[in-house]
Amino acid sequence: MNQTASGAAPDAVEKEGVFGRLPVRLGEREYSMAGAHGTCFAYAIATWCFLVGSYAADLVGAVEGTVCLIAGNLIGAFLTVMPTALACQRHGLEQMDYCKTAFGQQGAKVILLFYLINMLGWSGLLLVMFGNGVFNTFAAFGFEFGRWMVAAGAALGLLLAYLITVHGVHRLAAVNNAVTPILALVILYMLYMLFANHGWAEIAAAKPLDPTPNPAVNYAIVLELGIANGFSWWGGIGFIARNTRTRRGSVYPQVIQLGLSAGIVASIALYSALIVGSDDPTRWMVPLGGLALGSLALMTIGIANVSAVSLSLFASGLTLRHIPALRRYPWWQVVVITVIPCSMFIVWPQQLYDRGSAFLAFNGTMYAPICGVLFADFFLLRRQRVCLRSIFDNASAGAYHYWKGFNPLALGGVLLGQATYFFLYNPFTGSTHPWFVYVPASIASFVIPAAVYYAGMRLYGVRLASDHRDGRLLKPNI
Amino acid sequence: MSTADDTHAGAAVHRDALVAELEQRLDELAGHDETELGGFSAIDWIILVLGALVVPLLFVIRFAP
Repeated sequence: MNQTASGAAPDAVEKEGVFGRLPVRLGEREYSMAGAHGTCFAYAIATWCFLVGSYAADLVGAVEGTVCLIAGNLIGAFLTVMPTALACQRHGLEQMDYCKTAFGQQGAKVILLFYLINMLGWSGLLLVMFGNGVFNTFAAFGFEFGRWMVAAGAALGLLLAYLITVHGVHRLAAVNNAVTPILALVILYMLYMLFANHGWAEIAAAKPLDPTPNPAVNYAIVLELGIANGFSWWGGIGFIARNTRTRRGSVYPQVIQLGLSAGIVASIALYSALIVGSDDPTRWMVPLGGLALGSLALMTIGIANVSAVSLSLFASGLTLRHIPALRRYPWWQVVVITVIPCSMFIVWPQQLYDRGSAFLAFNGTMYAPICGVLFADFFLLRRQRVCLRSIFDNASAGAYHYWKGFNPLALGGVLLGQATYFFLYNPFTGSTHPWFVYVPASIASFVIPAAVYYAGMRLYGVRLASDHRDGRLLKPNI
Repeated sequence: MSTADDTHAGAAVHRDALVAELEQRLDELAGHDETELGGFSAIDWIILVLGALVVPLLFVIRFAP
């Protein structure tokens, strides 16, 4: 165990280092290149990819969907990984702390809100999927219940996820380590059954389930879903990167697994939805695999859903520790706070689940502009040099204090990016601008804020110091 | 059972330890030899830009309806 500087409370301090906000030393980092690939693969094949593939099946066929999902995921993952992974790996930083370099000490808390909406929204969708799985498992054995069983299943899933999360990271890791290989087998089994029983010709000829009249718009929306899904990995990039030992180990596994592998798994989900004719992933298993194996696969996916929700609750709980008022509360109470918004999905499961594709695209509106600002800030303005000490200093003279703790140019850039996104594509109404078929909304809302932020920072001559004025922390924010 | 004062005193000690540990880590990380972190060269950028941006975009254009 590492000795702390003061010698006080070493266990607690070490836990802060590895799981909390203290920068992680090189010697403490767990992931080699292979380890980072393994962890990213576990994220990439989690059941949210099933939802992405199922939403794509509403609009496009197998060939177009495969191109859009894999290409979109790769593009989104690349743009989101590059600045965050390289910065967090270099300094062992947690990602919300890294955001302070562009958004300011207080401005980063606005990003924290976006992050929580993303994590808890995904959790809610997966809980309803778990509830649907419970409903469909009973139905497969001839027990027909009302739709209340979906809500009851979602409540059970939330309770299980809560119990796993409050027992800490080791319980969480044990569950995930057990679930990931089994889930990988289920996905391979799905793929085998699809090709053995139906073949590529039938999969490629299958019609989309509920397309709009305009094929170009369908294609553009699915590409947008793919890119938005790539961007939505943003929340997990820093945690993995700060625990890797080399720069390449922080970048390649994330781009390959979160971009390519996630796109492939989403494509397998797309094929399943097209063949079975349903965009509910819990309805695929029995038709594809028969009653016995299909039910087993369905239960595996249910457990994987609970595991993925636990990950989200855990990450959200850690994020809430950035709020000073919540730092002194015990862990179980912080986790309860993350559970409260998820409980909306128990009250209105189907209504919220049906808006899932809009939520996925909405991730693009949140993360594409943030990634654009961070990309311009880290690579173009700062040339990859940030002041680590200033990140942890709340003093008003600090390099990242900006205006009352906020950087209006970065936050304004995010708002501009969101407006750009809605101008091209409104995920809630489905309305699109004619330009949308040529320019994905996520890409426009990445590029425009990046350009405006860069120009603004140059124009106003904002200080880009990479050194700390005082050499010691005046107002530590930890 | 601990009192509220105990809890606050414990929290203060914990925070002092955290700040001291943070200072030590900041010094350590600032003094890192860059070679310890491994390289990330222009070749890496070319591979990633081609593999994760250019080629996917070409596929998207090729299969667009």
